[in-house]
Amino acid sequence: MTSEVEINNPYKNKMARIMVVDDEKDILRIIKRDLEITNEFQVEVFSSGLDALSSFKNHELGYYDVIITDIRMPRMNGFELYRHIKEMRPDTKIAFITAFEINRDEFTKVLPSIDVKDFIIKPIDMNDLIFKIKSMLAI
Amino acid sequence: MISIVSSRNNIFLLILVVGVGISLSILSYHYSGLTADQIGEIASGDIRSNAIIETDGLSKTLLHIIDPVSTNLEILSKIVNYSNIDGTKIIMDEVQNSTKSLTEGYYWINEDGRIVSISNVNSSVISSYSSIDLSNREYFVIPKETHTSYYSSAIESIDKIPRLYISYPIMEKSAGESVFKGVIVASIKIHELGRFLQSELAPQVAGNVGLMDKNGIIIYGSNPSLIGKYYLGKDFQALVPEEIREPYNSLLAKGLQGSAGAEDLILLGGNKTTITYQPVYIGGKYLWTLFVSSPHQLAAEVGFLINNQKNFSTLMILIIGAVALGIAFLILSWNKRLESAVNSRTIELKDANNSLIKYNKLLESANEKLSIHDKMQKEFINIAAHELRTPIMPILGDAIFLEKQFEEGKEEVKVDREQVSSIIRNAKRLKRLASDILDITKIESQSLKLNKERFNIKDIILSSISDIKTQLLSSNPEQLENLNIVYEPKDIFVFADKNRITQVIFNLLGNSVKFTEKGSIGIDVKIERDVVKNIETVIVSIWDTGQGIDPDILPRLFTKFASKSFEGTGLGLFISKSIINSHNGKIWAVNNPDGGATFYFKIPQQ
Repeated sequence: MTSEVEINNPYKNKMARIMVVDDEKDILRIIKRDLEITNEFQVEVFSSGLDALSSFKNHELGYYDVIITDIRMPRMNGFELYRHIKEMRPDTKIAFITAFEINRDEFTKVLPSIDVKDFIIKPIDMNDLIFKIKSMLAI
Repeated sequence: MISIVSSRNNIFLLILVVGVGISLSILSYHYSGLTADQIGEIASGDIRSNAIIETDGLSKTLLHIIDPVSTNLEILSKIVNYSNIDGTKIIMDEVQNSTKSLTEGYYWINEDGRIVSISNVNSSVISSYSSIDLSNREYFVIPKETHTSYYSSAIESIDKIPRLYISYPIMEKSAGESVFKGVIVASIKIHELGRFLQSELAPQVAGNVGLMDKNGIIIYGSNPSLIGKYYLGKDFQALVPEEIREPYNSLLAKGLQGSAGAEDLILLGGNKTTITYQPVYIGGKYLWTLFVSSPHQLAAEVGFLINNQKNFSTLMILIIGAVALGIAFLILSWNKRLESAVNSRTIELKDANNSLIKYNKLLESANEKLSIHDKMQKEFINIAAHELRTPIMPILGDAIFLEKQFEEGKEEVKVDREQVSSIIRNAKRLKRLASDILDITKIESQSLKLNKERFNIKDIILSSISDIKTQLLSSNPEQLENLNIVYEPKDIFVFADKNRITQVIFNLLGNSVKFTEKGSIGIDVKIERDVVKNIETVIVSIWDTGQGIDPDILPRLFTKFASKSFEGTGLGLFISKSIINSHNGKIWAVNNPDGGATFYFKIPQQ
């Protein structure tokens, strides 16, 4: 499965930088390890929205190719982070990780101001996550 | 309003019906009365004039009956011949035969008052009578003296048969002078006259005919025993009712004065009778008075009939009125009943409607509660799912990572400490979650049962502190070194669920540890009297010098998943609150003025 992904990946020789935000340190560790093991992604993890936002601000435009954030986090949740980032750079590609039992339509209904490209439902299937990140990069 | 108006209309209708009924009855009664009186009057008048005509006719009839006898007597008186007695007797017999229905016989009496001949009687019998002197009899004396005819009153002879005598004088002219030579007498049995009268009269009149001579002697009457009696005599008067005697007698007296007339007499019982009197002249002389009494039977009958009719029609109208009244009452009462039925039904409907509205409201609020509950339940499930899924991922992630390495053909796979710790940590978290969710389920289904016992609260606090320290020693030894847990052991006994209260203390202690990276945590226990409930209560307070409670979270601190912390389920405070509540206690938290937070709970000591 890994080889298939590699063959179809047009960005094979270019490492995409992924920002992952989650308050669960164990999850961060696993996502980082499983993404980086493919040699296609360079992953930076943050255990809080505030940390992630300050890092985003501190880097130039296009530094992070894709941002993946948890929704339910203390102090700054994933939606707040989303808004802050979109305010600064509206074309930033952001996906949500959530354990909530919710689909995109329901989500749009509840929070219409948030343009949600993708949902990644926990527990995350790493193959799904990789596929989603790749399709977001392809746009 | 409508019902009142309709009932007023009904009463008006009722009064109208009654009024019309009564008016009709009165009108009908009055009109019928008028009619009866009028018809009675008309009938009476008719009867009166009829009676006059009848009486006049009757007097003429009487004349007609008597006339032939008079004529016969006149002729006989002129042709009698003393020299030819037998020849005269033949004529007398003939004459008698011509009037035999009325006359008893014709008598020839000479100037000495002795019978010469009698019609239809043989000479031997006549000679036996010839010795009787009749010269003192009126029918002899009066013609002898007056030389005119004589009509007697009713005279009773020896045989007690009343008779009427008519006599004519026999006058012989000699030397230019009329000489009395005897009389011719006709004897009429009054009964025969009556019978004759009766046969001539209409049957309805006959019974009411009376004939009196000018002296008041009754010649004919319906009662034969009165014939020949004087009308003021006791025999006749005895038959006249006392009440009408005076007007009756004066009426008869008037009738005997020789003129015609008619008068009404009110008889006993109110019946009217018209008495008509008519003088009868014979040979130009007033002789008799004919009385005809015409009871106003017809008028009375007509009046009676009309009265009956009147009563009947009045009665009918009254009955109709009563029936109408009854119907009106029936309609009225039916309307009333209908009205009250409608009213009561309306009230019932209103009540039903009201209760329906009430039930609807209840249902609405129940629905609202249910939907709130449903929402909360959904939210809980959602968050619970979130919380359950979260620890699964690292466990699964590490396990899959390791498995992959085996798949790549490795016999042995290197596992680092972090991976094992992560698996254990997250598995434990799952375990805690499972246990908390179970507790929540028990609380929500209200099946949380307390096993109360008397125990020393000091024991559970000490063991909780010991457990927390043990836990920290393995998870975060550095924090343990920086934490100072303060507790002054004191024996305080309480009657409660030991395990559940331990759970609460451990949870609160755990919370404080979680948010106090370094500093102090203290536990105080005291007994306080609740003056309102009049009981002793145990108050446990757990304070820390940590980061305190987020003011946003503080209002919903004891709800499910209010806070989130590493290794926390977000359910601990909710469960703690439920446990304290079921002990009839209270749990609350405050931020300390100089940093950190203090959690309190209070339960009854007994």
